Amino acid sequence: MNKLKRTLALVATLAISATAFVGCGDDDKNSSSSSSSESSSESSSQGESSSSEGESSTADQTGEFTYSGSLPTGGDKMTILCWTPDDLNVMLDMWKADTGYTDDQINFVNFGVGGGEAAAQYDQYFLGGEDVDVFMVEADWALKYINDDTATAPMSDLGFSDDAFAGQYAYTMDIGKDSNGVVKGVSWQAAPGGWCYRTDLAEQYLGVKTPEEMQAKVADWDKFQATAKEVYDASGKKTALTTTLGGIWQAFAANRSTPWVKDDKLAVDDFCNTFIDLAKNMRDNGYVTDLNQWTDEWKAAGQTDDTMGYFVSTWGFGESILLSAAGGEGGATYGKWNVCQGPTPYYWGGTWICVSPKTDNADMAANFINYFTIDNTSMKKYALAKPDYVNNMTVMQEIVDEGSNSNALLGGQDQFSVLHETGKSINLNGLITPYDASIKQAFLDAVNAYCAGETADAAACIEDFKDRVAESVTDITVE
Amino acid sequence: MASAAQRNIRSISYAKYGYFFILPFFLVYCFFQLWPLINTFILSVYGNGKKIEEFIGLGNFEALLFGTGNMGRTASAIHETFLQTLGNTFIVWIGNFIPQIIISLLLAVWFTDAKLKIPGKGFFKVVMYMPNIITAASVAALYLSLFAESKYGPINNLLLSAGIIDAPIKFVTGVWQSRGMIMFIQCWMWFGNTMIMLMSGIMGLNPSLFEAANIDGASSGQVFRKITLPLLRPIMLYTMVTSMIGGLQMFDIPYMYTKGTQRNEYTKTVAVFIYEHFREKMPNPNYGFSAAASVILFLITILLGSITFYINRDKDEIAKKKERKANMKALKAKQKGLGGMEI
Repeated sequence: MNKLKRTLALVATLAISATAFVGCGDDDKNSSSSSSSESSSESSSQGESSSSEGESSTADQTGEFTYSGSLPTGGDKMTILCWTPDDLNVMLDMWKADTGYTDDQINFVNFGVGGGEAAAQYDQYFLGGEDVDVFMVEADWALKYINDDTATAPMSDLGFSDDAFAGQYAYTMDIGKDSNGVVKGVSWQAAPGGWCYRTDLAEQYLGVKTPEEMQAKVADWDKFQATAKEVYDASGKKTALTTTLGGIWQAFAANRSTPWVKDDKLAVDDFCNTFIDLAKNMRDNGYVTDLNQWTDEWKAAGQTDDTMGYFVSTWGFGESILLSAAGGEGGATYGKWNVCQGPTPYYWGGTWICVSPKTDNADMAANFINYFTIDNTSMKKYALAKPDYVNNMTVMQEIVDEGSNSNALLGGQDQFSVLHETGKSINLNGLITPYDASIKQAFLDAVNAYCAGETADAAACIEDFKDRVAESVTDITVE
Repeated sequence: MASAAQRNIRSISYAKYGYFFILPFFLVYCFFQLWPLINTFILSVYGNGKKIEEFIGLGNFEALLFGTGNMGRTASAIHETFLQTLGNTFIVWIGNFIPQIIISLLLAVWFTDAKLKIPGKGFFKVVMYMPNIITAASVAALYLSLFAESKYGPINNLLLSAGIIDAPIKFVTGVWQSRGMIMFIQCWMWFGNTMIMLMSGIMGLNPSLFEAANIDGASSGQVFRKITLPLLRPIMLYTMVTSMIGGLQMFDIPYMYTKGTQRNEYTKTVAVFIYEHFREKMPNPNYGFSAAASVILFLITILLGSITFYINRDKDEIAKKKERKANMKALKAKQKGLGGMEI
């Protein structure tokens, strides 16, 4: 009797504590099935008859794509990691419909956080050892994973040669390469940016009627400042040419001719001083407002005459920037905007697709990558359906030539034609480092502090910048 | 001879089952609370960024506290930031605790006073407790939109159009404006909670004491000073200590009450500092600094907690204890003098 009671108590205890640890266990199902499928194709046939059926049927349906890589196939489900379902839901639906893959074969893990926090979530997820085949990375921290051979596999292992991606905008390929030049991440969207301005104010203060005339007025940073003065004076010291230093910096930072970090040392050069002078000049004279990016007032300013322009990238024409700045559809300045290339070609953001070397569904991953980054037909279909700015020069050229895109927010202008030109001319020269996001943010913070009068002069601003970098990026030396 | 069954019965100890039942909690506690706690101490002696697995002894502490060591510029930069965040934490905590305790005490006394008969007591209690129910994120969002610091912000707009101010007030980035706002928000969020706690303390006091004081003709000021306050000491001590621990760990409002993506240096608390280095430093987080700062914060909490307890100790009780001890000693000595004989 006692033994029974004791056993029961023990069992109950174990059961309760076991439930508390459910989350800890790592899901070995996938990895074991992959290893078994590697060793013998028969062993996996019983439990996973559905997936092998799916494979054979896909081969029939897609037809155009055959997998020729060296990474293993035949896993249970293809696991895709992303931090937001906004793009992925649309993409997966289209992809499934066209390839015949089913929901059972896809495991979409959505972390539901901001892009900046996703890396931390990924680290946790990778530590857990759960199945992962494909994951999305953001430009800011893409290199963290791309330079890590345990996290990302080269695209050549999936059967793609570098030439396969020849249709993509060159700069997106640069970001997807690791320090040895091996392509490990590819992007389906390109994010070249332009400068959007208010057409009514431009005509009133500058006599400018077309985007081409405007472009001539802001073709480089000197002209940009001169035009800013013109606008400010003509408006009776009321209208700033552009809204935030953050926006200017986004474009200006793309100008750099040397990498931020050389031999693990922070490189501070004239480039920094040039921007500090430009920022100080524009801020002190009221050529740029003192608002900060991503605040409510930042967007609200677009409905007033206090600012004339925003730096906007492909994804920024919707709610995230310009549509909100115009006050939504039918808002105060809706339809009164135009876009031109601005002082310098730049890109802003973007998402890259990476494949884990531990993948067990390499054929599906390769199919997915082919569908969204190589195949012209499917990419065009996606570009028009989403609509999104896809990373394919041929497709974007076609869309521009067809002239089917007319944006009411821009009074009917086609932003693709402008951004397409920019996209082609962005040249990163392989200058990117994994620390760029932190360093660029630190520099912007330091410049903002300087313009707000917290640091005395440009030299102090540089020192402040160095301190900020030294504090946040401990992997490099700051002198 | 006892039978086998009898022997078994004797060996039954019901306490054992109790242990079985509380075992799950302790297992979970050890894995999810105790181990991370110990791990924090371990991490604090390891490196940052890529050097996460490199043992560096007290290097992190040295850098944080003195800005020296072999980390070069990183050490001095992080030392400066850490000291500033520590200073911010104390300034914001003191600035919100003092008005908070005064308001709470005043309201608690008013609401519990039998003579005052305030109408709608329940209503006021609920309304004053309400801010504490709203999540900090909503509160921060609310104040951020109300006190947006450009001229488009509602409060600034109102003040500007009424002609009270000429230029918008920098509610979010100004040094004392932002600190003041956070003090105010913290105070506004927590005074209801403190008030309820103090009220329960006051209502637990013996009412006959108040009656007696009234009959003897004591004024309400005298009652407050001579009866309420001294008897409320244990609750006050509790409020003080919990508020201090909460204040040192203040995170949510300072973290969220910022302008866009730029965090304000004047309102950054130690907890925000820890979080930033733990989570937001790309591409590799600084776990070492983060853990070392947590340990320092822990030690400060212990120190301040001990001081609070020491200051608020019951002096009469201690004096009495001493007296009793002395009496015992004297008694023993007496007994000794009598050769240990009982009288």
